[in-house]
Amino acid sequence: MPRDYIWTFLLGLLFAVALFVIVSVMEKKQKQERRYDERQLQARGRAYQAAFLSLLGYCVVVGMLSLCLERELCPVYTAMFIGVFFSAGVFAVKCIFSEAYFAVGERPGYWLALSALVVAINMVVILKNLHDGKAIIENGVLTEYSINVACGILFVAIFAATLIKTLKDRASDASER
Amino acid sequence: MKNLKLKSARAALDWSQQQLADAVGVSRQTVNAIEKGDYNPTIKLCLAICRALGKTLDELFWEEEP
Repeated sequence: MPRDYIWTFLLGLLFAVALFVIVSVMEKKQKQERRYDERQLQARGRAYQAAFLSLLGYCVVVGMLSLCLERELCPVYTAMFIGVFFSAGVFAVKCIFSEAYFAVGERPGYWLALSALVVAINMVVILKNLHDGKAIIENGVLTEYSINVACGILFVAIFAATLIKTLKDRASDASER
Repeated sequence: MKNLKLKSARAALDWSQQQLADAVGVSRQTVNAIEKGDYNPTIKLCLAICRALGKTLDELFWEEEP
């Protein structure tokens, strides 16, 4: 992995850890405990299953493609991160559509804003990389710079699914009252 | 199968799904799923709903045989 990318990666990791700490402290201050009800726990279990099977499928497909083409499609760490983002996306989207992503009483507005922020940060990194001449694909091989693209796609999927579900819920709310 | 008994008991108290959900500590979507018959609640949740609405298990969840 190139040294400049390691620094970008560490910065991203630091941002994620800082965000996690800030959210945890805010939740403790507001004495809000994230809790899922029995139906949500069941739905989350099914989503974990789907994410696990998706990751297995992804590993098999990537492995078989490398074997058949007799060359690596991307560096191992790039393939690993894309797989993690892919399965995390499957879990998040399945949870969102089974109404089990947000805890009891939790509003989706915060997660919409957070997803938009992560997408924006990744867009800045992608554009900077392109500007610096760092290609996402080189000689038919995905470079480490594609990790940001995969991360961006994950959060775009979460943002879009949350938005669609929120709008659908508002429509059903009006009819159920 | 839709749980119309639950829906009508809730409506009799003029409660929204959200109000019932808050009273029993679940999400509004869970109450909606029970009323639509998409989710089969545990006995623990059934009892909590009965207590919140002042009804018995029979009155809300017993299904007459066809």
